[in-house]
Amino acid sequence: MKISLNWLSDYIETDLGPEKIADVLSDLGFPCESMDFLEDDTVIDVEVTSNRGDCLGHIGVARELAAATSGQLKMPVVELEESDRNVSELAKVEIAEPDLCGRYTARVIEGVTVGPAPEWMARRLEAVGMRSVSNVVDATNYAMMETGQPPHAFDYAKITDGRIIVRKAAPGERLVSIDGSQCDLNPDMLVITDPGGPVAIAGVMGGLETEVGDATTNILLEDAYFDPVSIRTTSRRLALPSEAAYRFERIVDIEMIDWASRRTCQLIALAAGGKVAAGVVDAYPGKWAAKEVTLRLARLKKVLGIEVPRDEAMRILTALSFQPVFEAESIRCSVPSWRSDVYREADLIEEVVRVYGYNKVPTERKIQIEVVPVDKRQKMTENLGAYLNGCGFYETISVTFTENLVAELFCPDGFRGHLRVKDESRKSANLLRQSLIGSLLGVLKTNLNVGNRPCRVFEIADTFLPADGEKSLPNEEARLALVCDSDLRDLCGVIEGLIKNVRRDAQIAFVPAELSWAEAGARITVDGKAVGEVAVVSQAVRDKFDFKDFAPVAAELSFQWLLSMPCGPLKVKPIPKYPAIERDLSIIIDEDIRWSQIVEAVRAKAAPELEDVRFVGVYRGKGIPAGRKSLTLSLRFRDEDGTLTHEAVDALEKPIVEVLSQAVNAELRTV
Amino acid sequence: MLEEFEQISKEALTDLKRVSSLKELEDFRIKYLGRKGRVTRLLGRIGKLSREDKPRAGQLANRIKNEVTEAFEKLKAALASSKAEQSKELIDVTLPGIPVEMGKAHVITQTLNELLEIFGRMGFGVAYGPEVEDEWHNFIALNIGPEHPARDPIDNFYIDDNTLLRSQTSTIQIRVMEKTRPPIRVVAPGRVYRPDTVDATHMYMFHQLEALVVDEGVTMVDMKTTIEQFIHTFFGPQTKWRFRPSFFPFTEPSAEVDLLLEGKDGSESWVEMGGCGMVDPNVFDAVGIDSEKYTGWAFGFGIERLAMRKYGITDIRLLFENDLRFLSQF
Repeated sequence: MKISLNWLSDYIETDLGPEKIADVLSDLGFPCESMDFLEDDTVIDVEVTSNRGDCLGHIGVARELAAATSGQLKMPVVELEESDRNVSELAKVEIAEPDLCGRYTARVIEGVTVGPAPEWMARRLEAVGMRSVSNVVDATNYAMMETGQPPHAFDYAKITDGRIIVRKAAPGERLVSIDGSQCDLNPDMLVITDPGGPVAIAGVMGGLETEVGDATTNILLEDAYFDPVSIRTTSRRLALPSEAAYRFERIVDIEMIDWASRRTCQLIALAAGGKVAAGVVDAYPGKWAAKEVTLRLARLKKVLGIEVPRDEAMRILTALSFQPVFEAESIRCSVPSWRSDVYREADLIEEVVRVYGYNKVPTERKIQIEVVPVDKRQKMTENLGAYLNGCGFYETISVTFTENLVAELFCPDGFRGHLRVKDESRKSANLLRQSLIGSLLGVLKTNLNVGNRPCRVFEIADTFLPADGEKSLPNEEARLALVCDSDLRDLCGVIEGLIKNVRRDAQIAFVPAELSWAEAGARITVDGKAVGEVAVVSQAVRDKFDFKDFAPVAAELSFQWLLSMPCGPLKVKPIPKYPAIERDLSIIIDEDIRWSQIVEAVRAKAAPELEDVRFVGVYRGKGIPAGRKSLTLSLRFRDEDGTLTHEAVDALEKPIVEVLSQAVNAELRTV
Repeated sequence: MLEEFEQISKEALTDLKRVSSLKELEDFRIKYLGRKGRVTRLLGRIGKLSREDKPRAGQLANRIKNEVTEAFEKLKAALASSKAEQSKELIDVTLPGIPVEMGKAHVITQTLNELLEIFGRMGFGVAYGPEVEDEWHNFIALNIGPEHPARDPIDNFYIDDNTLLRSQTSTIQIRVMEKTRPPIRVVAPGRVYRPDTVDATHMYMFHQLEALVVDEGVTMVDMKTTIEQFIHTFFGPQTKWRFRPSFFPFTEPSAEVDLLLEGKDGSESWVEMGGCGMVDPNVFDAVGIDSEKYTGWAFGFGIERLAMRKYGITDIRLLFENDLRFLSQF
């Protein structure tokens, strides 16, 4: 809201300079966003919060300034020279929607001469950013910038029978508004009509046809109160923002409407001549009821932590027109009609402290605290993050949305099973992710495009599945996903380390599985429970992200599960007393034999001395028949009670070779 | 006999003079000083001598052995050092270290970790809430009535008529107060969503952190004190800040927290950091906490803006593009 200090001085006398006024207003809750120094005026642009519609006019701002500086508010004196003709002979008002239109006043001014506005009026309007149109239009705008109440002037001759009917639009009704927009009205929209149809979109914009023009001589002046939600909805729906709608959305002073109408008539007569018909047509179904609110001084202290002197509180509330009465350690207030935002004790507390000064609330040297345990999720996020950073993985944050073509790659049900935000807020890529891998592959692609290799990335974020059963909210699960440009074994190693970081003795396995997005994939199990997936991405995924001759690897785990993984107390194991003996074994097996089968076979009948079985490598090529591969594994033997001899290990190794030959048709490869 | 001893000694020392490599030296050692070496064997022969010859021969043999061994060791050391000399490579200490390929935590996470640590030290627990919320938690219980502009469907990511992506982390306040009775002292971090046209300073998804304290006897003085301690810890003890009256439906009285910060050109200006206020009695009513008995305050702010200011990031989009050339700088 732009305030001309020149204009403001009509309502309050003050010695304060522009900077000081801006500071005072800022301390009251109206921060100055900019300041313009004109030749003979200074304009400050103050931010008005949405609860303070009463400060969307110069009088409202002057009232605040007066309260804070112990100044005196001067209201304009309204004196109308009325004609003999009574307005009731000229205009009629009918409100069909009293819930949406609490009050509608009509006055008629006859014999105006439309022309340029007086210079002083045009200048002030231009100072606050409004273009001068004509004396009549400027007078209404001037009134609005003064009182905060937006009036509307119709060309009286174009209102059939001088009859105004406030109703909802009928289906199919249309109106061309003053700015030339063709508006398709719908039955939720409140319109001002005459017997011939809509003449204005209530509180938003007038119609072109009934607009005041050069030929206009008589004016029907509207000053009204409209429901804020209805105005906002209509204005947004029609994409017609206006100064008027902005004010109606923030609630105008329903009690002051008649005064504002008289003031507007005075300004029109002043600027464009004419005579005001006597009286007013005032339909007022939503009669304002006075509210009383009591402020207990003890409560004031309880909330603020300081004592505001009673006289000071009384002075502030008086200056803000709350007509305070002190009784029984309380202050009884009568809320002025323009302060619809004040209805409880808490609101009065704010009024008092706001004017008293937030800076008078002191700070102390220390706070009281109670020690709380470190948050588990936070700690795990930091620990696992640090581990993954150590493995070369960068943490990334991607937006929660995904697009159909990506979503369906990772979800067996396709994109239709995804939650979607409404089109009006987001037209494309508006699905909520069910997997983080798609986002990470996008990140990988972005990085590869600019040559950032190696590229190892992860993200921890929520995924969203539609609600099931009685629940109204979706199933959100925090997940951890990883993508990198290396290979599957590398990623599996990272995952094993990750899980063991949470629980050292977790039994991790990669169980082959058909995954919709994978060329070769596995379920990650911990102690037999599936907690995630890891895979080389499929050709379809590579095509979508345009990875040529290169297959990224990806994994996703339930972070929620990692958080809830049962972890007993850590018990340390003794360091072995006796040395171990390692034996490497190269076996030739069929191509389709998996490592897990080999381990299973070796372990099945192994002696307790077999401490570990490790994978060493695979060889294909010269010396190995087609369809077979040579795999080298390393066996580690140890006797807890003594040093093993080579002869003893030979005896332990022999049955293992035999069982491998039986279980996976392995033959020993001799180099 | 003794002449023979002297002869062997002479030969040994002459032989040693011809030795020019460690290999030859080893041959020499075996020939003279090994178990069956000529010098070693001298000592064995002493036992067979007559009683009167023994002492002299013994002394002589020992002297020879010592002399030869000493000469041998000397040569061995010389040869070893000359060999090392020849094969010595320059250890270039100025060569660059082998880079360790490490990743980094995202700058938002780093900032959040720092914030949570500070609040943790101030006795705040951490609370979380769902990102898809119902109107009750996102609006109604927060005293955001149907007339409030924030309710406009165009300004929110609605999924259906009752659920939407949360537009603020204040939703977590409600969830905490529904579950826990005072005293309450928590911070709630998370992603929030508001439709916005993306540019250098606007993004439709960002992160917030919100603090909530509810107890008997909590006042605006407590709120100001805690916020000041936080600001002085995070931004430095000299940081100037102020409270400015503002409006939030879920707090009354409400304030905006401004910091006096230095801009790029070196000039100082007040910068909006976040909003706060005393918990509105309507919010307490909504969650069934007696607003006569308890008071509380809340303080919330955006994390992107803090991080951007701290590190001089001028485009918010960089935070979500995840280019490693950006992420690796933190």
